[in-house]
Amino acid sequence: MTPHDDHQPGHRRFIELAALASTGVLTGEERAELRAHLCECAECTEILSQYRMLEARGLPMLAGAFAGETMEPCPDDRISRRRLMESIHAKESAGVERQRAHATRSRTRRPIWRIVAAGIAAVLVVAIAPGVWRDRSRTNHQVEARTRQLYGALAAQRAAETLAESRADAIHRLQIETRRARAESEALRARLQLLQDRVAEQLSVARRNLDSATAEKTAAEERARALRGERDRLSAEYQAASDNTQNLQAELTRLGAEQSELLAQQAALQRRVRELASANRDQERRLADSEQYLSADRDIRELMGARNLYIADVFDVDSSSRTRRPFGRVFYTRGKSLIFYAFDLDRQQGVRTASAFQVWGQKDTAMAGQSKPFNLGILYMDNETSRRWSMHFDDPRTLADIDAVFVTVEPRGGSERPTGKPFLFAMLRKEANHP
Amino acid sequence: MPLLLISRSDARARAERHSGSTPRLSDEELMARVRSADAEALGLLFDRYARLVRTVAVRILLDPGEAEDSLQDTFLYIHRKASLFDPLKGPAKAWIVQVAAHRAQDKRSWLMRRGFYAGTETEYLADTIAGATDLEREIGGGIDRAILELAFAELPAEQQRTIEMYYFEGLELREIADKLNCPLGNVRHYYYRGLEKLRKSAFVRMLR
Repeated sequence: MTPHDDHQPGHRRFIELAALASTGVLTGEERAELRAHLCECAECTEILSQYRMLEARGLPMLAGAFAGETMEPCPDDRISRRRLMESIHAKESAGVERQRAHATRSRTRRPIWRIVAAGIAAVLVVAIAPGVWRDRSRTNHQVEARTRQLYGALAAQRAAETLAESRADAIHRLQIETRRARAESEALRARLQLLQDRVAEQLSVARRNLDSATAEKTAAEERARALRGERDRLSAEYQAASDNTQNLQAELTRLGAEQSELLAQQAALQRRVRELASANRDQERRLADSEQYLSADRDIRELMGARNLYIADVFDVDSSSRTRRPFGRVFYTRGKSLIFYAFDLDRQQGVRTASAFQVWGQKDTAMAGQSKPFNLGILYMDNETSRRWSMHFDDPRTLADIDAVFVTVEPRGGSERPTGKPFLFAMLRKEANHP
Repeated sequence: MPLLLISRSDARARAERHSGSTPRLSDEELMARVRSADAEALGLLFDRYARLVRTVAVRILLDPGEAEDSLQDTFLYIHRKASLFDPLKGPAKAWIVQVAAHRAQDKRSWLMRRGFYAGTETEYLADTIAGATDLEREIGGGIDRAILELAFAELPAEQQRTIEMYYFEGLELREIADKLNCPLGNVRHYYYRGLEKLRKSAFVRMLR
């Protein structure tokens, strides 16, 4: 770890530049700046070294896990591949040649027993020669002994040096092994620490999750309890509503039956009302008819019993003195009533469908040009079978002012004054001829 | 896994199906054949991983020509030492990349000793490792794979993708910016932040 791993703001920029130093994106100015800083700052140099070690040793470790996908070979790859294959073939060919040469040398080599015999002979020569030398040079024995001692000492010194060197090598190896073991131990400790941190963190998260889950469970149970209470209440309400609905349904059925019965009664009553109304109308009609008949009967009785009844038939004659078809019959009671019957009026000349036959009263014939005719009324069809029209007039004052009556053909509804030609002219100032 | 890589993998599989009569073999099966001195199997592995190995070598050696030599050296080593591959210890592709990285590191040390980088723009970069002490080398060699993988997995997606594209797909940061359709400044930041987190995971935790 370097002091800059705490990200001192002044060095952060150089740490970033160090990370990007090998990517080729630094400008010339940035590279110069970084180089100058690295000359002065051992920590940033160490961080740069760590980046480089990461790129050289760390990132390849990730290749298997994260960059294992194959990539399309480029043209350079094909050339490289050919070069590789040629190298392999060349090495294989060279290996075959070496094997062939080795086999040839083996065939020309001396038999092994000859070498062993030569060695034994050499050993015998070396063993016998010193004895011969001892016989010939007994005087030099002490010198040789000293020489052997000297060689022995030298050999012992060499052995000691060798031992020292081997021990130094062993110490060096042990130092390397120690450093490696220390580094591995540190790595393991770091990993253990990391795992412990992670376990603690996961435990904390799990504990929080458990607390949260417990709280949620409690809340859910509360909600479930409340919902159960609500459900029970709604169930009771539903049951009550259901019972009420059944009662209402029964009541509705009963009321429906009653309504049907009432409707039937109403229909019967309506039929009865219609029958009674019809009977009433018949009764009223009969009553009206009776009244009319009574009135007519009274009129007839009055007419028949009148003292000064004047009855006259009125005819008109044409130019050849023939009576025309229309004729009239007048029942006149002086000062009381006038009943005018006319027959075959539709045979009168100039009569149209839309015409009306209007009866007029006049003061006197002699003074007809001076007096204004009185409208006595319109003749109505009284009996179609006998082609009879009638008119009844009973205003005594008017009757007192007129002396004659006549009929004119007028437009439908009558006129204010006569516009048609008068016919069926009858004088009333005559003596009563009935009784 | 990114869609781009999957499509490349599919294209490679199709290319292999069309090019030869043999069905697509796994990396581990090909390694077994390479162990039996099957040069064709080595060629198939080369087709699959030449770009990756070259990219790793370039990132370490900082020189395309030397990286090309390192590529040859790596596959010759695989040809000779395929028996060292143990499928129980991990996938073949991881082993191949590890071999490539180690061969490139050795080559960089060799080049440093001969002053290959002297006077170049990248001298101070190459020197940072070549001049490291034995202890630092040991520390560098003691980077824990599991911790590093964990730290990488925790990186935000854009930082992961940037490092992958730069380091394993051989794209430069400017090309990555074009590909991700974002400013170069952002890609610089993604790379720096991702690498910084990995560095802290690999070294700061180790030395705690």
